[in-house]
Amino acid sequence: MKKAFIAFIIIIFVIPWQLSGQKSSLLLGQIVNSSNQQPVPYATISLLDKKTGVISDGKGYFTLKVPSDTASLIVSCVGFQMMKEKLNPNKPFSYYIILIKENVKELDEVTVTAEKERIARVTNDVSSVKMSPALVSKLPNMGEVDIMRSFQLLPGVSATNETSAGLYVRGGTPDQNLILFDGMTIYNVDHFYGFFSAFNANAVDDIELIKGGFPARYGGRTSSVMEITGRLADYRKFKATASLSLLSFNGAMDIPIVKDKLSLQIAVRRSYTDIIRTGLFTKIYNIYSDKSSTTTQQPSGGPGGFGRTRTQTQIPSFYFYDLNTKLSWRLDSRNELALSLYNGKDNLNNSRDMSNFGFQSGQSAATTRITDLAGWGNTGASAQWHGKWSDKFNSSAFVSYSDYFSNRNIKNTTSSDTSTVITNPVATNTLEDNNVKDYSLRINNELQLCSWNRLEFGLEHIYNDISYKLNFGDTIKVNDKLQHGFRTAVYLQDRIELNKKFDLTLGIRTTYYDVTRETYYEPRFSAGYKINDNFRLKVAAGRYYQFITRIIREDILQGSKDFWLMADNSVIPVSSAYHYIAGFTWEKGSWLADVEGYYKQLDGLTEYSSRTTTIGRPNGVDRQDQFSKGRGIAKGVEIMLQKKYGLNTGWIAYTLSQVVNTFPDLNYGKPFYASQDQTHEFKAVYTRKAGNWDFAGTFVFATGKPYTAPIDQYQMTMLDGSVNSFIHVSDKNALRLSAYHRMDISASYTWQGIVADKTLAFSIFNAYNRKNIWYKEFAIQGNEMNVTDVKYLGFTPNLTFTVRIK
Amino acid sequence: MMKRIILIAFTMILTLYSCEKLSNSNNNSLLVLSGYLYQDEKVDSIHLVKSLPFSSADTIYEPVESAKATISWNSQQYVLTDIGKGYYSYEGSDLPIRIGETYSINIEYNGNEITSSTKVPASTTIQPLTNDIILIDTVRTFGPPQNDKSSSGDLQITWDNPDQSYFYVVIESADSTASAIVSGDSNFPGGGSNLGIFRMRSQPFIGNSYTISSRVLTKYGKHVIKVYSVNQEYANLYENRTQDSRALSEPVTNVTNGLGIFTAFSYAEATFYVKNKYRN
Repeated sequence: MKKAFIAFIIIIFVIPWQLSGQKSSLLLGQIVNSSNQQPVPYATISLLDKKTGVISDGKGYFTLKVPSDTASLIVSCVGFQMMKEKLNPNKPFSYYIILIKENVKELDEVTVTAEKERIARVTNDVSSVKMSPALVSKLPNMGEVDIMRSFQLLPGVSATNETSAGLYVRGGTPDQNLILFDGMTIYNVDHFYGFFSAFNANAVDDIELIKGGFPARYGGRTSSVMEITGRLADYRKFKATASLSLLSFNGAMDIPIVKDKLSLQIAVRRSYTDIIRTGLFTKIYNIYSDKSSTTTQQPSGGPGGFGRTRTQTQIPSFYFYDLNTKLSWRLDSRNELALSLYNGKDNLNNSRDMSNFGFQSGQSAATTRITDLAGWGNTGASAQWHGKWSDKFNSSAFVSYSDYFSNRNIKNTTSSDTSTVITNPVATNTLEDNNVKDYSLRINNELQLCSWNRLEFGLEHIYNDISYKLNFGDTIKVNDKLQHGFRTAVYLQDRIELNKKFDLTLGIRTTYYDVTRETYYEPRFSAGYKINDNFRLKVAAGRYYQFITRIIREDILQGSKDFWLMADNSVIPVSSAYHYIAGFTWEKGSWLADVEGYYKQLDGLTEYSSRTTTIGRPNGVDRQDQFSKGRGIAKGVEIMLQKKYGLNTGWIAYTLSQVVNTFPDLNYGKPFYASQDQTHEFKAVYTRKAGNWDFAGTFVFATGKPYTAPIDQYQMTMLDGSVNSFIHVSDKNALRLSAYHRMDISASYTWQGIVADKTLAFSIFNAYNRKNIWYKEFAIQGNEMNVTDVKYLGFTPNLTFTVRIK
Repeated sequence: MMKRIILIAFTMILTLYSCEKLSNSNNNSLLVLSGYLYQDEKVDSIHLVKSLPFSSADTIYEPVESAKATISWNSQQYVLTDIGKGYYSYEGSDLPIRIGETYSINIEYNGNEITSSTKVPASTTIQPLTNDIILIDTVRTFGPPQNDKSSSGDLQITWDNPDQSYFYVVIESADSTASAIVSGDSNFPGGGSNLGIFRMRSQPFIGNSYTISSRVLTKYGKHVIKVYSVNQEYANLYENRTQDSRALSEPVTNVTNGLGIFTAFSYAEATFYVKNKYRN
């Protein structure tokens, strides 16, 4: 490691200075939105006909070597018109502002200077894709414009998890994704049991997903990174948007406070499902009703009585909301400050009364009052500063606080009523509470050593405070954990363009984790090689560590719950991964082909189960945590063919993948397919604009996911003479669900007005009503096993009306 | 160029697709072994049945007969005898079950072979009893024992357990001629027929003491209490005897290529006496 580090230092410092004899003109500039004067992050700036370019940073700044002071540039960015900019030698090259226009109207397919932008854009970086929230709204949805669902249409991101807005990226699980929203780490991305993501598209400016091989700037996760940039309000003009769907209301406002200096953006979204239960809400909720709102009673038939089963179904009171605000303050031409606040929560009140009537005359009747309250969500705040020290050196700093909470409190109170006498109530409680607090400081610096060498360095300090509590009754503490600890990371990365064809990025990230008192080294590498103007090869590799993990506590009866815990290397290991990625991008005209193969070695994986036992505890029930530790291999090939612009746009994507885990404690130590493994996945996305109409359709096909099932049963005589029946289950995840496929379609019409635009959008989810299976339930009675296929959402139409005040 | 792209992509797919597929063995009708070896006792608790597939129309667990069952110990093999209904025993007297020794079992049936092995655990040491007599109040009527506070107390035994190991306790009457405490009642919890020898077994538990309740006893006279040391393999099975559909998993087994358990127990013993409170 020491030698590698020395070599790294030599490469980034010595080689650049030796090569710096080349003469160059440096252009230091900023990409700015012409309509609101806001910086445009992650825009691509390239020389016309040269195909060499750079990407602007999070605040739109860029540095580019240009051959002359009258060279022509091409600037493109998701959601904006592509612009051709001829440099003006009279403007300062130390702060050159390029204005680009938002993509607001359809232009001719072959126009060079203004083309229709894509919903998804594959960037020059390895495994990196960006999406425009504005364009995502054209895609079909389930009631809310959902940026996470849109990313699920990309290759390498599973699209078959209707009940999770989290991303399963290249065989990883959602907790292995680092999600940063204006510098805040977001731990929960689900609204409404995962049918919608917690991010309001109206509050988002730009999203970038790095599916693997991510640079040294990012750490703490082993799978992928999603960086979300919150939208800055217009500095000059008041704007507002309001929309109403069959589930929720969504509103957003841009409020300029001091022209060109200070502005406030507010976006709020709330479901009205607790007031009006539309058919869409009922349909979605019914998927969960079997396990959470349907109560089945099976009183034992005593002497003279009869056993019976009663089922009561109740739709609970449920709503979710989220609020995003962002206050932006442009201090001067070199410094900007922003304050972001995010608050989102889901509330479920599934309380109900159940009456148990006596079987015989005169027998007492009992009433059970079930109080079932659940809430989960995030609260976060961050302060962001972006400054430009000089033409070659800029910095950004984020101070953020994030609070994830998830709690559920179930209380059963039974009271007996014999004639007029009501006995003392008997109460039983189940309490589950998980809280993750995250206090972060992130400082990123970019130093342009020369036109072809950019150095990035920074630090990250995160303090986590985690509590998890699971109690049954008032006395039985299944789990009661309090954890806290910090980790401090520093990183150094150098991007070198060795020549016009070959670029190389080397990085190292070092993290000290005080819980294990160990230091972790994460080398990163990526490179690109242009074979010609159309064809670019790319490779990446890296080492990644994760110090906090989400544990799934499966519960078919009351709904699965998950909770976050910190790794301690005793019960929960620090997980790690090696990424190896290779691929190429081919681009010609309006067509793009992107192919990547990946191989990931995962270590420190954790699976959890909770079992009940009375052994050795004669007076009570004891629950034992069982954390199994293992490793895995994820590998695959992704292919994407995209029609980037024109009247008809979209892409087709295919992923071939495999995720195999090995846990010594599970499956007799034999390898098994991970639960998220899917061999084949095919996706197609199509959009078309015709006048004021926008049409879109998506199609997903995926081979079935693995599952485990009982296959036979047996009995054994135990020592105490009792005969116990056991179920023999298949090898872990040895069976496969049937294939998943689904088509969604949408059409929207926009009335353009002087003051406001109005859009009516009609969307159908699962257009041909495919009965996709979520999971299987098994009920065993005697020698018979009844299998129930629990299905995902069927044919589901939705209507949304939006008004945008210009 | 397009041809080159297709070629590269196709090669990558082929490379991945040719990767080894996992073999998933989901054999129906596995052999289920319940094999228990007891220190100083004859090998006669080896039971073999077939599991019952859910796809089968059968409702009875079929015992496995005529299997070739062999126990190996001390580099010698001892062939077990099929005594019917799936039970096997060793008829000779040259297979002692001793503390610290490892025994292996091999069963061949219809081309299938299952194996397992176990080590007889060390026995514990019972602390000397300060009082070895339980006095019974016979003012009890016919029927299950009531909460008889007039009984002269219970008897507690303790033993060494520094490792928090599992034990189970067997209490049995050692006097076949002793009279019954409550005649004609055979429904005492945990008790056997009180017409013959009283014998009861506890569940395995972690601990170093056990209280003998006078309420469960059915016979007067001399009794033996044996504290059996339990191997981890049985403790694991016992802990997982209740399967949880929320986390469907296979019960723990130490049988290779089959299901069930093969385990051994050692014991320490003490004696106590049960007497009538009024007759002495």
